[in-house]
Amino acid sequence: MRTIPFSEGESPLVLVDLIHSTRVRDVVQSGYCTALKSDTLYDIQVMMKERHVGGVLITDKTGRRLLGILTVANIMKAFEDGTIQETAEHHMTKTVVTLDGEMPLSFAVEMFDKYSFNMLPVLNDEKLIAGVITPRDIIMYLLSSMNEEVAKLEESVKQAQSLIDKTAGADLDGFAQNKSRVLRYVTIRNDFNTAGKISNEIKTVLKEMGIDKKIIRRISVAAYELEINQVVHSYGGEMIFIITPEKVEILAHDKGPGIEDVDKAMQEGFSTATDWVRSLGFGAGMGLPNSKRVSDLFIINSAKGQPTDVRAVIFLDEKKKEEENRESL
Amino acid sequence: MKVSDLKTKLAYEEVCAGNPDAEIRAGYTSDLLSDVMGNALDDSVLVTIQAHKNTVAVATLAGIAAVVICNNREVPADMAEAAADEEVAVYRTTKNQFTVSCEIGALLD
Repeated sequence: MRTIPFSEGESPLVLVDLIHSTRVRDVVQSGYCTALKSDTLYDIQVMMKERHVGGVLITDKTGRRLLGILTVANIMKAFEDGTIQETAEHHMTKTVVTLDGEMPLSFAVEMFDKYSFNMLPVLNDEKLIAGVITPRDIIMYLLSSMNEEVAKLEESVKQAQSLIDKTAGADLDGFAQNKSRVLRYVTIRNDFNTAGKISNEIKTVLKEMGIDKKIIRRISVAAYELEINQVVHSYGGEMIFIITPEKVEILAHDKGPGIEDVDKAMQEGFSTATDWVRSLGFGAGMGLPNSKRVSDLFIINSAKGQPTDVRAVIFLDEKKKEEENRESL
Repeated sequence: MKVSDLKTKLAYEEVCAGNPDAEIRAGYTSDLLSDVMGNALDDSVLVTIQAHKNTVAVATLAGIAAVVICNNREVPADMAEAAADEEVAVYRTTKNQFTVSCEIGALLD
């Protein structure tokens, strides 16, 4: 089977951003067919024919709670086995792969790539049916979004170029003379597949510079946590690393939506991450406390509806650290 | 204990050998990655059910030598690839985190 031609590393950033920042619920089509588990397979296949659908959601009497799914394949098997007059209850697929409406669209794309389903039920926070999503929905949504995006891009080719450039860390001028380096990276909302990549690259750079292993670990921890925070909580952002012989300075700047209560966010164990983010192992409420703990200097600025700015500094030289501390006292 | 002991002494299924001769000095059991990041010691083995590529990223950054995926969870192909690239050992087992922690703990003593 051909795989979906989309890859984190190779697809245009605009598309990657679109697929990660769009939620499944934004793409869901409202029309879907339901039946009860007491309905016969025969009646259900009549409905499927009339309404031109390949699958029916079997629900409880409210029509909102999902019990199973019945597809053309089930119906064909029932015709073959001579069980077409039996009820859906014993013939439906009961372990159904569902999507959470809050998940990024990339999850749906991945699921359709992985399994041969033609539609997937989408559930809301209360685990009730919010709709179904089909590859067609995704195509329609992406095409119309891409039309908009391409129009925007055409309008501002210059801006697009700078966006593309941002995917790779680039040395900025002016720092080369004094053996300092500036590296700049972009983070994308909900892009868990490449999350951690920036911190890893920084780690490699620092290793090459021969920096002490323990200090590299501290910088990596701060970088990783700030990177993950941007991926999980922000609309995307950028991370700038300024490496000088004395210190490494991390500037993490995102596009919002800001932290409502910064003091709370700095407490260990406090997290606003959603359930599915937690299911990936994030959202322990340790991100900001971890990055502060490993930093010599840690400043965070944020408010609801505002971008979040973090400046974390780690000194490479113990003496320098003492000097700077004295100065700041 | 050595990374390879996870296979030879504990019979966990090897997904990626990593650096088999590396010494394991400590262990950490958690499914929350930033908890691991914040608290795991260098040269640890991580006991978790979190079978995801990001677990390898955290292991690399935190200096974790081996990851044991418990409860018979599948290791996705991209996780195995990342582990091979980063030379992080990945093992899997049907046992749960508690049992695995006890088994590894006994070897570390």
